[in-house]
Amino acid sequence: MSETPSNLNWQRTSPVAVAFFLLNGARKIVSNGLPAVAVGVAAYASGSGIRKSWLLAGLLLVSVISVAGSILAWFRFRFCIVDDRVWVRSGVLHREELSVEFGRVQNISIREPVYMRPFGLALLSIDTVGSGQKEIVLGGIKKDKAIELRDMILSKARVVTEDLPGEEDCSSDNALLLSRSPRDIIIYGLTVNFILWVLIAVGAFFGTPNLAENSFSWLGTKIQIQDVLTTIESAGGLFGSILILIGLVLVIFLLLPLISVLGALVRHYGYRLSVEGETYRKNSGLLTRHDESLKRHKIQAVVLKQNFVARFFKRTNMYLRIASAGSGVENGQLPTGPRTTFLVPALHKIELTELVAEFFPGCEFDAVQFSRINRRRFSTVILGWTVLPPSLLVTGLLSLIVSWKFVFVLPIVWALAGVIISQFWHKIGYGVVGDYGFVRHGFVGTKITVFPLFKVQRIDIRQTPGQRRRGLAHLAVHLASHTLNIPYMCVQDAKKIRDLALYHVESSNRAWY
Amino acid sequence: MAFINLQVSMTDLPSADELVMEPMAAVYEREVKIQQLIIWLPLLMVSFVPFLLGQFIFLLLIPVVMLMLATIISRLVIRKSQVKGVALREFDIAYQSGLFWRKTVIVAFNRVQHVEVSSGPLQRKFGLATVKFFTAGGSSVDLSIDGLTAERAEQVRAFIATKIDDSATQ
Repeated sequence: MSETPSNLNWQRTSPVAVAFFLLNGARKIVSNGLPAVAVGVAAYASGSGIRKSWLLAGLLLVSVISVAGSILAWFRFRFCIVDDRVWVRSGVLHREELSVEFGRVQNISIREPVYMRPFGLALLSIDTVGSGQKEIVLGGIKKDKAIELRDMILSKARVVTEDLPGEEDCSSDNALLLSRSPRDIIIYGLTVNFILWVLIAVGAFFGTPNLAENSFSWLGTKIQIQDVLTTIESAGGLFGSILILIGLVLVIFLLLPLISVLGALVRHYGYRLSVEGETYRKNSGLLTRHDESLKRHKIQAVVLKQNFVARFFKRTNMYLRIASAGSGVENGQLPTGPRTTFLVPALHKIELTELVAEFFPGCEFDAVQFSRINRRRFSTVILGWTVLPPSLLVTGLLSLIVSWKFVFVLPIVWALAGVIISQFWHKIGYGVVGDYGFVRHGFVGTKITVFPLFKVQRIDIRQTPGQRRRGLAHLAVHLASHTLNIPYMCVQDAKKIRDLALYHVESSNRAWY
Repeated sequence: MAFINLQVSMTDLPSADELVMEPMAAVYEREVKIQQLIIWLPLLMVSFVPFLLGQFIFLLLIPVVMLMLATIISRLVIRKSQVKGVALREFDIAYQSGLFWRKTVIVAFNRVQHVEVSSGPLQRKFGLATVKFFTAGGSSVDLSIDGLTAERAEQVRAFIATKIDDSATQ
């Protein structure tokens, strides 16, 4: 680490940033402690007058502390830019100083939250690569300044020794690659995973839906739903509660897609993806305008997702994966920013192939032929180890205690499990075309990951005694963004992929980040 | 599987399959044995306590079962330490381990973020050390080799450190 320069021109952000700190704090409290908040609300609703006033007083105290803390946090937050580094000093109780070299910046995004727009202010977040490094957010700087800074950092970001064909054709300054109409965004909203529909209800408020980020909040909502159910049951008779339940389910089924679509519109309205030399830029947002930038060589993998709704619309959602800061969940904390993916929503087949070739030059997505894994071993091992023991145990107990007729349930369960496993098997596939690897997974939908072989971080091959006898293996490909697993594949293929990936990794001087 | 548009012939690729794995240091096996002794001896002693308190002959079954368990498990652990192997190539390091579930991990030097050498009290007694490799993929240690002599561990670390510098300056 370099020394802190002694006399620096430290700057503060605009006082409006107090609102930013306040919102951030509130967001943290709610997303980390939703169950606690729910308990608090429940206690308030059921509590007596005295308890209510106590709770209100507590709430008031918490608010006052939060506001004071936010003002202090804003006051303590200072930053400066020297040569090719950003320095940040922050923290009220626990003070810290961070510095980030422009060359290590992974991803820069500018956001204009609603409350900052009237002041012409913006939020610049700088994401870095490397273990333990945090993301820097400069909240409340002038928009022009944010744009200037972004361009400066991007221009100084590490120049990669990359001599790929088609790199020189930066003829136009800012070429539009893709724009999405509100209709496309609505389709995207409908095609996001079904469980995510629930999460979006929470996620629309807090930012982009992110499963890990909101998993705790999800737990919280689950608790609340159970509470609702018990109150319904205690209120009416059995028939009445069933009616209410059906109505509730209907409402949820209609409401959730609606919420999901609204969330998608708020976040991605007016989606525009453009390219400027090596830099991709994404503009979107109805209320808060998001402007995200990403250098081509930062892309670790392209993930293509198509679930059953998306299949109906013949669309695919594309996610560009970049190295996750610290890679994975560190220190047991939930990732705070959903910015390790870069979304390209609701693509038609043609757009998809073109864009894959754009992000990964020379990658022929259409040419890939997926090889299958060993069906027999995959099915028998999963059936034998995960389905058979519990199903035997449960039906055995039921037929002993309740009725012997439960034995007949077994074949049905097994048949169903067989169908599900075979569906999983159908989706698992792998292939290599040129310098790129392809891995496919899925159940009803499909998820395909495309990655440049030279960006592989590490490769493991595992074999159980049974796999050794049958010439099968389990391959794990570790990328800087995520890990891909292929079970029960032909061991020769696994070794071929490993050797080829190692060849690309070791013979290429291209930086992977 | 179908390989299309190949730039390199698959047969000419250096295959990691043909690597000759070097076994761990000779003292490593001794260290593992001592380690097992340290774990099992107190447990065996404790398992006698019910018999001493109760004075029923069938309570002797507990230490007998414990002894059987100790022999089987420590045998397996010692056997496991014998099958571990490392192979250092010009550009990467391979590590094989596992008695039943055999695992081979290969890490290329130009993907290593940093290397760590550590040694516990027992390891120091035997002059052994553990080398850990970290890459950007995966959340924890990518590769941990724990049967090298301290000297060799340091050699490996230094060798890889030069390799990391090389790839960083390019």
